Amino acid sequence: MNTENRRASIEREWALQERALDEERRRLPSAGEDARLLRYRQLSRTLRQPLEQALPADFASQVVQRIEADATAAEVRDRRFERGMIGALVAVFGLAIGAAIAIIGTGWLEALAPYARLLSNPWLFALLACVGVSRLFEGWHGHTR
Amino acid sequence: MNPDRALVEAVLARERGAFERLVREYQGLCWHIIQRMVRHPEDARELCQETFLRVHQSLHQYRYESALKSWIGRVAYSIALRHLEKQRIPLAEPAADEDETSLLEGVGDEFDLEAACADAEEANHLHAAIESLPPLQRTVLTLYHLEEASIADIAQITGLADGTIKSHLFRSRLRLRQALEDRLGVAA
Repeated sequence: MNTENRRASIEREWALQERALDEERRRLPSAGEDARLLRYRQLSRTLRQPLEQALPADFASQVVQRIEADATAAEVRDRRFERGMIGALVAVFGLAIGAAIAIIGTGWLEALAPYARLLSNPWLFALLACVGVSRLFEGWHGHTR
Repeated sequence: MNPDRALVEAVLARERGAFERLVREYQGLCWHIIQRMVRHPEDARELCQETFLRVHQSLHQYRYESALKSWIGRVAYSIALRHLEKQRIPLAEPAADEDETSLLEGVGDEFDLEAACADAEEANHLHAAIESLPPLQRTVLTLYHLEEASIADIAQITGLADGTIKSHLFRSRLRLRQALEDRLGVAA
């Protein structure tokens, strides 16, 4: 019986709290009502007041700026990492070629010996120098455009 | 199309200004949850930023199973909860004895009960009493009264059962009413 009374009392109190909230939401006038209901209405009114402090007016744009800055920083980091990896791969590849030549390439070097004589031809160097200068000029021209 | 879906799809399609619109729409909700939980404006602002960074990172995981408001509220609540755990601040008071008389104890001692009872003072007193509640109760009350979130929405945000939310609401309002009556010298 006690438990039932207690439950009924809790239900009545809950109903009063909800009624006060509803009346405040609907801005109903409060006159000559139950004192407890008036207290709950006062509480509801206070709880419905906006918090004193708030986020800055430009909060949304600050967040977007931070997201963009983070994305740019991540992109730069990724690009650096990619370049580092390519450099490392080229170095490993170069070392592998060097090692392969050192271990099994003596035969090939001997076979290439006749072509080495070409390297003593000064016109070959002149040709390579012309190609190099032309490439550099193209690069510089493209960069300044 | 559902406005939540339209907004989410615009953000995921990287439409210009869409995410800023989302932030504007839900920054009030996040502020109410986080500020009520942590009660430190500087920390709350930082945590609100963190919330929206998290939302931006994981929005593709949103499956429209709940309202976007509840989903974002849940992210804000989790971030505030983690902050409180780091600071070792208890989220809620230890579970009270089921005897309802215990619900009527506690708040009044912290306030000057002998002061005069002008309306403004009563409001200040109530604000102080609300601030003195544990973080979870403050947040639940604010979501229910100020944000007008339903009990089901609050349950989704906090991950608590509907009954637990109701119990927090009931007990907090009862305590606040009694704090007010103590101040006014009204017999409960």
